This record gives sequence, structure tokens and C-alpha cells, in this order.
Amino acid sequence: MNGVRIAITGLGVLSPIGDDIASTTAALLSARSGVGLMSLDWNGGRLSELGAPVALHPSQTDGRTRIQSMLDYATDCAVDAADVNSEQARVGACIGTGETPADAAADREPQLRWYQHQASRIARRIDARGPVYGCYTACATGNDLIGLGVDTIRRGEADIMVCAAADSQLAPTSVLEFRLLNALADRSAALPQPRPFDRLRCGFVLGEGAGAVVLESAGHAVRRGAQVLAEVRGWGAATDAYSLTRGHPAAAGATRAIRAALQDSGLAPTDVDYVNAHATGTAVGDALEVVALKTVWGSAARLPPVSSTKSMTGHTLAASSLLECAFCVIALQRQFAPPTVNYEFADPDCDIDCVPGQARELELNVVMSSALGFGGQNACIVLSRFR
Amino acid sequence: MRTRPRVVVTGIAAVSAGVGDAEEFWCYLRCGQSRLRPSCAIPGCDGMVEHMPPTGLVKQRRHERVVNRASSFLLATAAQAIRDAAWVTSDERADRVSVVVGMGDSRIDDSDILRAICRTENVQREEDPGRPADIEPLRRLKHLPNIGPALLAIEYGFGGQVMTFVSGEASGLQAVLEGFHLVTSGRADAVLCGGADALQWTSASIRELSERLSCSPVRDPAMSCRPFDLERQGTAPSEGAAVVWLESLDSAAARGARAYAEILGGAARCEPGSSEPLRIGAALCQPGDVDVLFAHGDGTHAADASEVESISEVFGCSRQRPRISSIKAVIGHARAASGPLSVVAACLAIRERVVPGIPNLQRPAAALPFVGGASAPVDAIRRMLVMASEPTGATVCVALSAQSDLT
Repeated sequence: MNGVRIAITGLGVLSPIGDDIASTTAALLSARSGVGLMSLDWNGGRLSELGAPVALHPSQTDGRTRIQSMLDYATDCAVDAADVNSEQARVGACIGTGETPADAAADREPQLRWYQHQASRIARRIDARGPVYGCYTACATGNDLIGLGVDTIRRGEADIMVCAAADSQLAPTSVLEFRLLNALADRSAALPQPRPFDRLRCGFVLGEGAGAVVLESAGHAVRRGAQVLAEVRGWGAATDAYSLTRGHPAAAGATRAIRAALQDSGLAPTDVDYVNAHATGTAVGDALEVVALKTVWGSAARLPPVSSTKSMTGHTLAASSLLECAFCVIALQRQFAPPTVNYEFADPDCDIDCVPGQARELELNVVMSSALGFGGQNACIVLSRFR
Repeated sequence: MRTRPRVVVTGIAAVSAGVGDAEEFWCYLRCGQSRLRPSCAIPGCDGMVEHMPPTGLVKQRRHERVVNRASSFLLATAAQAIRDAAWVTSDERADRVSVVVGMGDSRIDDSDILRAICRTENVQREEDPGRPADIEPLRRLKHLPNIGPALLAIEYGFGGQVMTFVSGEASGLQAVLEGFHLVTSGRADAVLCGGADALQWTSASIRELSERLSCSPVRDPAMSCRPFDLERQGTAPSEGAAVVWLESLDSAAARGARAYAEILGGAARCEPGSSEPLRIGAALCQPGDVDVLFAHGDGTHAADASEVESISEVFGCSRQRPRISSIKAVIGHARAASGPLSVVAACLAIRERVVPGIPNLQRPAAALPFVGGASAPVDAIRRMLVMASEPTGATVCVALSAQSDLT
């Protein structure tokens, strides 16, 4: 880590629980879930699945795919909030999206669907002429984008990096593919889903959304009088190198990612006041994440509160960790820990304080957010209040 | 203050149209012989890899099922580069090895899963298709671009960061630049980095290729791609992979490795026609020290003209302008793999003291020192620049030096 401090000066959120900071804050505080039973039309038939959609009016898509529309919305919100002016700053971008399912964009030009074109499209949209990255690391995409942005500013290659990600897989092909992986919660279960850390958890619920943050060298932000919402203290990433779909049995990659993020931040585990976990609600994944946290902190008793906001938003895949970064910034500003909803039955493998049921007022100075993805990809960020 | 580690290339590998490894690639590049052949599989795509890498590139059989075409190229070149670097991963170092790859097309045919939906529909329109039994359970993974790089980490036990860039034709060279940054920042001791891309079979992909890459209408594959020629008519879509093994100079010296070149750094920008990456790359070298520029030079009117403008702007009319070459007349435009393929060519040019020519360049479109026709032997190569760009504006430049203290 060099001496350049990284400020967050803009946020954009479009999630199943809110489409701006105010509504998202209200939902996090009131533990409102965006999950429900959805009907997905397929070729005249109907497929029912639990899902967490965003409220996107058809007029908002305007010929674009759903992913593009959401990405544009969140990016515009963040850039407007930070009042980014590319004529007066060196601006770059880190962009990540999932790929639009074929059956969700049959009437679109094929190139609109694909990963390859999103980064340069957003760069043109926000007039970012500096370093621009299009990156995809599955569910760890958001945190990896933030890491790229942080290092680019630290190297002095940009004053501002706009990091944005979006994903939407609420389409029959994707739902069937996730069912084939046995990853989804039982849509006919009597208990509310998803249930991160709960003994009766049985999989995740697909969500969709987009998140964006504006990263800026703190010196630049202060000089231009921008409002600093939080500071990125550091980040770390590591790979399990074990399996494409199963986490390492000792959570080796996640543990190293967390340790690397703390080391990059110059902080100790005891400095962290709250962890926003990846925790999607799968039986194995949640337990392994707890193993990683306990390994770093030493024991469950030493852990700060750890919650899963995916219990409310569902799993928004490539967008998840950027959305959760935004939730962490909101938590730091409003001084509360977001809840894990649907939690009822304690699991000895997840013996943590998961902030069950309702948000908790808490003095937060430093928070951490982790993301674990298919392919064994792990990325972790540490944020703090800006002083 | 901690000094930044110097970064050297100690392993190289390439697979592309008609070439199965780096030495074969160099052989055809040096003698200026096109490897483009008419394709029966995809008309108009002359740069297909003829001999697919063997199966068995991954140890776990279930993982074999998710290896798509681009990933198979990546895994094959990774094995070659690790062997070339003579790298032996020890347990304590494995977690300090990262993988950064620019991945191109990894799309797969959706027809099986769409058929499953339609089949159910034919039985009972309102019936839920449930979990189709006859579809590969891991099919979702097969079209995720990060799976090839992740498989690579699994196969070799590399526990550092795995990063997949998906920003098109420049993403492979961007991955090499990011690999350099990971070593200089201390986040990794060694990085396997490069790019992989595959020509796809779906009609949508072919249409996209034709439109976006301005495919050459020339019927003779060997003459279809003519970078920087006045009569150029477009590019020749190709595929393949190229990777390089990067590590710190200290690490290479400690294990007695040979270095092909040192990476000095580079720059990436997203502004169509911007000469800034080239200017930054050139500034990393001493004035007059840049001997060779491996241009993007894809044979399209717009991209070549824009690149000529940038080169003229940065190097002016000075007599110290670098000699300019492009690999695409020989192997076509392998998109995400094209930048790393040029890096491999640059490494071998330093070793052989030869600047490969552009075989189809007969009437240069500008008064620049292009190496047309035959390759040019030189006394020595001190510094080289490698460029990659994509039509929507991303441009990357990487600077290499022959003087790595190990060569």
C-alpha cells in the first residue's frame, strides 16, 4: 500500500430492495426483503421460481438489454452524485456484467448481449478516457473491480475510477442452469427463502441489480470539495485452486483473501466492526465462509457482527459485491449493521452473530465485505469512515 | 522506500492458426509464410486452429466437460509456458502465483437448453420443465469467461488472484500489463498472463465477426490480411492463445532462469485514436532506443489509418523511428489473443535478432519504416513496443527491453 488514500465520492444502487440511496437505506433498516415467487414466461409456457427482481419500467430499457439498462442507471446515479467532470479530472472505469441470457434478448442485436462491449460503452457514456477495464470474475466481480480501481489510482494513472457492475439472470435458461447445479433454494419450501446461516438453508435465490461506486484519490476529492462518503482502506484477492463449484474444505482461498485485504489496509481483524458476508444461503458455502472468518479472527467469539444482505436482495451474481459495497457505505454513514432476514434456527457450523431479523444500531468505523465466486474466486474489501 | 521489482518474461507459448507452439509460430513469422487456410467449418474464417489441443488438459474428469474451445487453447499454452519457464511450483510459493487472462468468445450453443424448454412445452404447455435430466449439469460454467483461467489455477495449484478481462481485442495485452502491475506492486511473485479467443459456430457470431472486424473479402487466405498496405481490405478472423510467464528479476535470478525480455510497463486508455498509450510506452524507453514496434496492424482501413497517425504523432519524422511490424498477415487477427501473440513474437525477435516482416505489404499506406516482405536481421534489439487496440476505443501499449540482466 502506498500513501494514496482512496475516497468513495459517489454511489449508485438499483437492487430488489431499492433504486436509490434513500429507499435502499429504508429497506436495510426495516429488514424488507425483495424476494418473491416469480413467473417467467418461456415460449408461451410458464416457469415459476423464487426471485428478487428490480422494478424496471419497460420504458427504461429503451432498446437496451436489461443488464445494460441497469448498469447505465447505477453508473449515472454514482457519477451524478459524485459530480464527476471528465474535463477536470483523469477518469477511468472498471466495468463488469453477466451475459444476457439468450431467451431474455432474442430480439436484440447479439453484440448488445455480450460482455465484451460493456466497458467501452460505459466509458463513452461517462466520457472516461483513462484506463478502462472490462472484467468478469463471477460473483467476485464487484470487489475485484474495486481492487483494480484502487490500484489504478494508487499508481497515479487516474484521479477517479468509476466501478460498476450489473447482472440479471432471471430468465428460464439461466434458472434451469442454476437448478442443474443444485444451487437454488427450494421454491416450494414452506419456510421463507433464502436463509443464510440458518440450519435449514437450502440454496440461494436469484436476484438482479446493479451497483456503482466512484473511487477517487482522497487528495483530489478534498481539493475539489467533493463529499467523501467513505474510504476504501484496502483489498485482497485469492483463489482456492481447488474446484470450480465447491469451496476449498478449509476455505483456504477465502482466508487468504481476507488476510490480504487486512494487510493491504494496515488493519488488524480486531479493528473491523462489521462484516458483510458473501453468504448466499447454500449449505456448504455459508459454513465455509464462517470457517474462513473464524480462521482469521481466531474464534467465533472474537468475530464482529456478520450479516448477509443477500437474505433480502437474493444473489445478484456479478453485481452482488458492488451492491454490498454500497450497503456497507450506507451502514457506515448511518451507523447500523444490516440484518440477515429469515434466520430462525441456529446452525453449529455458523455459530456467529449474524444480526438476525432486524438491523442493529452499531458504532461502525471499519467494515469488511467479502465475495466468493464460481471458479474458487475470492475477493475482499475493507472500508472505513473518512476522517 | 521499497524499490519496485523489475519484471522479466521467463516463459512463452503460442497456439494459433496453423501453429502449435511458440517456435513454430516464430518459424512461419520469420519466413513470412501465411498460416491462413480456407475454413470448411466457418466460411470466411481462415484463421482456425487446425489441430485442437489434446484432451486431458485437466485432471478432474468433470472439469473436462466445461472446457470450451478458447479455454482449451489457454490450457494448452499455459502448459507450454510453464514448461518453457522451467517453473516448479512449491507449496509455499503457489499462493503467490496469479493468473490474468484476456478471454474472448466463450459463448456456447444455447440450443440444448432451449430444446429442453420446448420439449416440455410440446408435452404440456403449462408444465414446468423442472431440472432437465439430459443436459450437462455444469453447462452454466462452460460459457463463463473466468472458468478457463480458474481451471488453470486449479490444475497448477496457483492460489493468487485470478483475473479475467473481457474487454475485447485489447484485453489480452491488458492482461499482460496487469500481470506486470501485480508483480511490481508485490501482490504476486509470478503471473501467468495472456489471452485466448475462439472462432464460434453460431451464425450470430459470424455476422458479428464480419461486421465488427471488417472481414476481408479477398478469397485467397494468404493475401486476405494486408496490414498497412494501400490495398488492404480488412482483417482475417483468427483464433488461438498466447501466454507469458512473468516473474520478478530476483525470482528469475534466484532459480537460474533465462529471461527473454524485461517488461518496462505500459499504458491503457479508452479513447478512439488516442496516441497516449504509445507516447507513455515510448517514454518508458530512452529517446531513440525503441528499435521495433509490433503494431496492432489488423489490415482494416480505419484501425491501420488511426495507428499510422498515432505512430507519426509520437515518433514524428525522426530518423530514430522504430521499425514497424505486424503479425496478422501471417496468422490473422486472433482478437483477445493477438496482443500476447505479439509479445511472444517480440520476445523471439529479441532472441533471434530478427524483425519479422509483413509479407503482404507491397504498397505501404504511409511513409513509415515498415518491415515489408522478408524479415530483417538486426545487430541487436534494445527496446520494443507492442500495441493492441479494439474498434470501440481501448488501446494498450506495453514496452519491453532486451536488457534484463539475465539475457
